[in-house]
Amino acid sequence: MASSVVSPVEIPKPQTNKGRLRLRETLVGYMFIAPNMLVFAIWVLFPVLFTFLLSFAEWDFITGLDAIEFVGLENYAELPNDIWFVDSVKNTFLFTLGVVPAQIALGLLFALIMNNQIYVAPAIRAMLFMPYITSPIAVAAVWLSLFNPRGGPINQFLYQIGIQDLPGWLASSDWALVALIIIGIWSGLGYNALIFIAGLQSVPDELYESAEIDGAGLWAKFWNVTFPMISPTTFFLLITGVISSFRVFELVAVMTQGGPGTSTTVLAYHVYRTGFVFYRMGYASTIAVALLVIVFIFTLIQWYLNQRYTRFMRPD
Amino acid sequence: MRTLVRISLLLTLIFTLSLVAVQSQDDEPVTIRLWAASATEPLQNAIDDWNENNPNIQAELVRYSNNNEGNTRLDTALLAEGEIDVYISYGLANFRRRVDAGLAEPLNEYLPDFDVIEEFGTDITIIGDMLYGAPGQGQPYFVYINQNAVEEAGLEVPESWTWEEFTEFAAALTEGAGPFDTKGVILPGWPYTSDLVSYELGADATWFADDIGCVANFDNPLWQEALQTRFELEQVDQVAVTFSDIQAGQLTLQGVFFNEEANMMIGGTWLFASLIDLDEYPHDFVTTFAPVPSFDEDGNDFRPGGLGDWTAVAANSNHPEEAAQFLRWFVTDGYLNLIESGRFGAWKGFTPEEQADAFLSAIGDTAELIDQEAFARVVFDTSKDFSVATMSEGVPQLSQIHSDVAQLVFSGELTSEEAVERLTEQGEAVLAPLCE
Amino acid sequence: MASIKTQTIPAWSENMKSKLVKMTLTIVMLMIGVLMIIPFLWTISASLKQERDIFSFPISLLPDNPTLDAYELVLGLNEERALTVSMTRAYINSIIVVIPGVLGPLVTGTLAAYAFARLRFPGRETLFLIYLATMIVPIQVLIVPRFMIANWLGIYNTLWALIFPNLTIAYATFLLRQSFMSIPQDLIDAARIDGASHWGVVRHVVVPASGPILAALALLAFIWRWNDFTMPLIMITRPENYTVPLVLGEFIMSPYEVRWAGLMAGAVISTAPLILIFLFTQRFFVRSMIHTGLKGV
Repeated sequence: MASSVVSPVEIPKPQTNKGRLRLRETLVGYMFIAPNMLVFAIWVLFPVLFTFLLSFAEWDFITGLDAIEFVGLENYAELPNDIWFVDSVKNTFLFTLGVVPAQIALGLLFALIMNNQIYVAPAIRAMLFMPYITSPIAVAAVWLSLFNPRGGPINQFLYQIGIQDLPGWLASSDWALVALIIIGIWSGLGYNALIFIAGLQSVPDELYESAEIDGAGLWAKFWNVTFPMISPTTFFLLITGVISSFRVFELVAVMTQGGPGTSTTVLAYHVYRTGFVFYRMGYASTIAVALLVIVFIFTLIQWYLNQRYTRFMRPD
Repeated sequence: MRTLVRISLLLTLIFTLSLVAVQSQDDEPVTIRLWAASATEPLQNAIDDWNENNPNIQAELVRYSNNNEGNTRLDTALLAEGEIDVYISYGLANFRRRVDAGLAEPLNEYLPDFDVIEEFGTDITIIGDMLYGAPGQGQPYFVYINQNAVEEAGLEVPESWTWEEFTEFAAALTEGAGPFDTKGVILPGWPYTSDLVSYELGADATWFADDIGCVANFDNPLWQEALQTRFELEQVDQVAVTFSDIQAGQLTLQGVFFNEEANMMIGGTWLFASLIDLDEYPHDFVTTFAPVPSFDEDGNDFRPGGLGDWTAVAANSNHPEEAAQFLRWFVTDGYLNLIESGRFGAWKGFTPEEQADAFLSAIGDTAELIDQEAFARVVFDTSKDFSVATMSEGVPQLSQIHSDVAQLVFSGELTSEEAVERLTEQGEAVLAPLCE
Repeated sequence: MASIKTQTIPAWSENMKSKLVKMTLTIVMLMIGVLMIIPFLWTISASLKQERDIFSFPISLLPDNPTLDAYELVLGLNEERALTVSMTRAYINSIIVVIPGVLGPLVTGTLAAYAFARLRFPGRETLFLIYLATMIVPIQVLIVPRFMIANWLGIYNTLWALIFPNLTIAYATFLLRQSFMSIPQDLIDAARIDGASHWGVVRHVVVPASGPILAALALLAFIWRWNDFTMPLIMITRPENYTVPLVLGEFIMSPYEVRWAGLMAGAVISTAPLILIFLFTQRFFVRSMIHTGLKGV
């Protein structure tokens, strides 16, 4: 976090005028966050704390609260021996690695193109955004048909361009995750592009003009002006992109149910299955906590790196 | 002293109950909610039937989907006060789990003369001396066969067969080798291999080699045989629609079979709903029937398929008395409404002939599309019993590792031998945390 | 506007060249755009087909014998086969849920974001970190505790169970906080010196300066709430309280059986307002990202 934030040690002294102002600000601050925090505490914080507690217990949720049986660290000890957990950590990492950088790079590329005054830009923007609002089950059905290893359009195309050894896509444990990554990129692209377009629009023209006076070419302008100026946007998309791809669930649930084999079993899906198919809500919570820890470490690293290299989160 | 307390408690209970009973007669009709997941129309017919004859107890249908989310929804609603009165669980494991969690009301008190052992031939719904419900449905599995294709191929449908004979038969019904030619057979969209094993070993022994559910039974050679059988049907002999085509093309048994893209399908009686729905599944060929093939000459040891529609009264129901009455009617006489749609009853009160007649007369002219001799012989073959599972903990996990591996076998990524090795190893791993 | 300009080429040639480039890029982007809308086109096409034709091979987007049967079924116009739930009722319910689901996070989010971004008080950073951390928890483990809370509060099976939890969205607060950080301090100081309270600053400085980002968030919140499926599925079981996605769920019979035509007709009916709202607000939405894009986020 920002370095110049007020730490709790600096609690204002009420007897001075400045102190009174400080106290006032503190009160106003708490009042302003109160409505938000009330809802947040009831519907998010409390369930999360409950999950944390459950991670030390065995529980089938239909048996009622009385039946929660605390087992200490047993659930955590089970993690490394859990065949699905190990695979799902690997798959989730691969998915994130496949989706997030590509989504950001392509999103930026499209945004640059769109920003260059192409025709019918509003219509194209709307088209790019469509995956975001199309019914997920329709999306799944269409991609299943497109990826059909025999006779699906994608493999027909690959065959036409002379590829002999056609991938089995969702039917093959080597390709299923690749297929999901492609769909993941596809569905998040419009959203990323949209945010980049906005970011680009706000880069002051003067910066480009002065770069041109210095004789900068296209690449130099991108690298010296565009890229640093939009890095806060990039950072936002990176953080939210990593969080959402670590939580990817629906895509797997409707397309592959984790298969073939365990090739597309991801963490959130494993959490769900453990809690609601294997009826082990306690252990499901343990996996959820593990996921939280992994992603939070990542977020903190990103935060720290960003803190060092950009002006993001500049305190006022 | 204790006796006195008990007696007074009992008296209070009886008093309260009679009060409730009196009230429900005087006041407005009681509304009870039935949660079910099968096709709406037959269920609604049953409910209309009941409502007509029981003006004081009006039933209402709430449909849920029998998938993971749907079952979670049922589970949470069962925890809430007064949401559900009667509910149907699909799969005995779901029923047992809900009973064990205290989400089913014991029925002895409300239905003292309801003898399920006598009327349903199973004591599986009696747990710890208390009765918790009954199976509405008996769903046999068998092979649906396109009679016209059989005649064109000059074949005759046998009365029993092994998988080897079946494969030959399917080969004769396969036209062309391409993926979009007519195949001999389509198997269900789930691995189905564990079902095949259970027809020989019975439900418990399919998964477990011991009595306490801590040792998996994947060592049994039938597992490898079952996996190998489906693999060969699809990839070696290429007489069956492949598993990956089913998944990729969102294929359903009925969609493929009635569209004549496969000349046989293996499934349960739920497919009759499509057979008689000529708007959605137009076809003009006659369907005949044969039993599910077996691994050895003497047929499957158990009747393929199983009991279903496990009906119970919710523990949190506000009207358990009325709900119990409805339940009893629903799984017995009321089930006739479902039989007319091809969902056959488990109640011994229905003779096979009655069930067949009820169905055939309800469907009118469409009955001509059914080979009635084979229908009566195969579908209502009660010479063997369904197997019934009594162990459920760990089954979802074993079933999951099995379906993970089965997919790889069917696509040829893994041999059935490697698959069984992996299953044995993983079976141990997933049961370990449950058996400490 | 153009971020990459080439100004060294003579005017007439630049004009020609840039038009050519523009045309090419437009065509490329249109092709990519088509890729993006195929599933939606397929949705429309499937909704007009007979059930059995939907997955017929080869895949075609043009229905052979277009029919409105599925729409009649979904809208309850088919007298023989009616749904047990009403789409009209569900539309009203969805609107009832969406309005507070959009306004709530904007109001509570604006206040909290202002406090997180502009006020100094003990515990501010810690609270915000907790806030961020909870965004990571997979929603699947929150289902049961949320059900228990709703049941305990007595709002299970009422629309309140869909309204109350959605009065804040962590993502919205996060985004607004970033946006508010980029409002020049001078503006706020000036208002404060004129005697405005913090509430006054929020009303007269922060909100007017953040109109576009608020509009963008409103659109996103609308989409999220409109499409919510899992929590409504658990929280609502009475047909009279169904929201639109729950009606669509009626067509998913089991993992092995989906009534595609009805489901797709429902999906078209359900998506229509989202598309309209996007088209009407997209200019605003795109412009609004300037604030988040540049200094804040």
